[in-house]
Amino acid sequence: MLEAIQLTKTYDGISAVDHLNLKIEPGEIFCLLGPNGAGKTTTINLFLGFTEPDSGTATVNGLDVHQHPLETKKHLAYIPEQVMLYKSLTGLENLEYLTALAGHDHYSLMDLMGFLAQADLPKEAASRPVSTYSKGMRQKVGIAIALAKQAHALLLDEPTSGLDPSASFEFSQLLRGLSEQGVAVLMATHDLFRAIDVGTRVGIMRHGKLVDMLTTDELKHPDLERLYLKHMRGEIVPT
Amino acid sequence: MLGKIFTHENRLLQRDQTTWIVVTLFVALMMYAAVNGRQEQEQRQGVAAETITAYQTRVVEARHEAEALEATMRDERRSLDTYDWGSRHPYNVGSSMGHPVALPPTPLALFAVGQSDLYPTAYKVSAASSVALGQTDQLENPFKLLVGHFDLAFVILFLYPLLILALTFALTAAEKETGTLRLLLAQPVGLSTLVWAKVLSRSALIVGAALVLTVLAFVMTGAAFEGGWGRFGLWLVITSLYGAFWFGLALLVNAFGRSAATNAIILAVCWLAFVVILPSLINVVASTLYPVPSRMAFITAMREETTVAEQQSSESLAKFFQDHPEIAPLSDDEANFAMLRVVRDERIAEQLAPVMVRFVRQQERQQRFVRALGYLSPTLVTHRMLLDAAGTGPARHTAFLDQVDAFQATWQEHFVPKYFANVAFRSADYDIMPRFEYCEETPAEVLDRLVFPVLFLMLATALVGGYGLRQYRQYPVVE
Repeated sequence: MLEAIQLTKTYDGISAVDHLNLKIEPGEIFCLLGPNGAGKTTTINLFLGFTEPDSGTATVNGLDVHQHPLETKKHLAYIPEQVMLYKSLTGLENLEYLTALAGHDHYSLMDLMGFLAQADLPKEAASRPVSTYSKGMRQKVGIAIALAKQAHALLLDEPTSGLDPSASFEFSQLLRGLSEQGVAVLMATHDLFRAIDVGTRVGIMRHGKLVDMLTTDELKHPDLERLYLKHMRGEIVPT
Repeated sequence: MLGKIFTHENRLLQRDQTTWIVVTLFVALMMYAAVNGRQEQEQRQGVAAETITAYQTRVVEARHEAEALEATMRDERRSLDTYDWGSRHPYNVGSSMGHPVALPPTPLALFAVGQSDLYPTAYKVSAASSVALGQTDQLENPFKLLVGHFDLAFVILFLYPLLILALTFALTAAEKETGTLRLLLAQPVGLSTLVWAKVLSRSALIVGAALVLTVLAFVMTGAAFEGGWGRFGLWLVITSLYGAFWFGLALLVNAFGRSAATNAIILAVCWLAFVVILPSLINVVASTLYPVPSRMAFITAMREETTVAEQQSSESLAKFFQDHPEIAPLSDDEANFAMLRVVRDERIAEQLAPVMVRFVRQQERQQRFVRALGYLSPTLVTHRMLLDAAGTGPARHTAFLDQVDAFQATWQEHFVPKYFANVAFRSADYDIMPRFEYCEETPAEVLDRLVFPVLFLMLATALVGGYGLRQYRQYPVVE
């Protein structure tokens, strides 16, 4: 569903993404781990077509993102680290507008309220202007927007930042549900615990390279933590 | 898709305080300008109308007087060929009373009164002196000459672009800075669609407001529509085009992906350059390259010539009659006052002719230069178009002056032989003296003048906007 082939992007001579090869199948939840500046966000931006690759390709559903910028976005839903919404509109209005742009202008008010409820946004907040929202509430509207889009692939950039533990837990449940429906998920995160908990695979990224890739089946949190730290300290040299 | 974003943008604009401030300001400025223009216009029109009515009354009175005199003369069995100073004296009718001519204002004159100061619209045509001699006393408040009047043209040319820029300097920069752009462009929406929707919603608001307010001003001020439809339509087209140019420019500046603050500064500099700096620079260069002799020098020269001519008038008269033996009187004492004046004026006109020609030629050169360089600034181009549309521009005025000149010649032809023939001006002569009928310029003439500048402005807008849209393809959504 999502595939990066020799994907490369450099900013001012420093490579943000360096010959990245990655394939995420429907139903998979791939957690991209790595320190700040490892290239996680750039990878997501490349899949969204927000930035052009220097070489290599990012494909969504078999389509090259660079060549089919609009078509590929139909299959993608995206939740950034900080969901920024139109402050003068209510949460519901924001959801309605962005889902209409996604091509779903057939949703009823009930449907839209349903998505907000699924994302755990308090009902009374839905009709308040977003300028009164906390970061977590905005994040929940972002989740609702992604859910409503009913996309085949989900790009998540630290989606749970600003969420309280229970909301984070709810979000994990949502992700599992989506995964069962066959949605491919690429999630950049710092949260090792969440990665083990919800991910089917984890990848560790450093200096734009994927230095390790593991399935989470028999992986325990302490093992992953140890492995992660070893990579960061340079104790393991990737082959 | 465009429709959805358009509706959304309108909703955002509606909930934004800036929009309301801008619109309120615009309404206030336009209405004030309309009322102000109306006042200026009424004042000017009033003076011209008064002069003409006064003249018409005087002609009727003089005719009655002449009739009464003739009746008395018939009773007393005196020859009707004799006459004294008064209503039966040809010089009195042809030169002292003269014939006032005025350029009638168009229904749109109140939209752009500014320039009518530079071009006086009422003159007195007299048999003995040329038009130029009569208009030297036209003075205007220099401050008003500099800034123009606060009329609709002023608001459209100077302030309307500022209001447009206030709504467009952060066309996409604001969304990029707040982060909504990322979420928006994660949907299957092209950036160019978004930009179009933003430009269209804002132009619908501000250009729409300009058009509606112009119609309102037109109706509110009681301006008559008759004969004004074409001009009014042109005015609306020019207003829309000028607005479109500023939108195009804002789009181009936004397309480079700089911050909203940087865009605001760049656009403010553009405004300053097009609206203030370039026009004054062009004027300074024009008056340096083609200096027009000062009006004061002209008036002084004219006074000197008048004195000399008066001293030499009898001498000149003799010389004049040598040149025109066919009208030479039989004896010297018949050379009366009227003849002396005609000869004097002719001599003055002759002496001043080179100065006049120099003055007019320099002015023409200056205007040609200004017109050519005017294409550097869309504001100057639009200014000329608005004046042409309103009928207060130089072209209509020049056409009027040509008609006045032709009428002057007719008037002179009619009266001067009478002066020299020493015949009385009879009451019946009042009915057959020439009358000035102003012949209005045709819509085709107005259109003809406007075609090139309109096409130019369209092209400029297309180039600026098109380049902007092209540049938007490389817009950095993320840094």
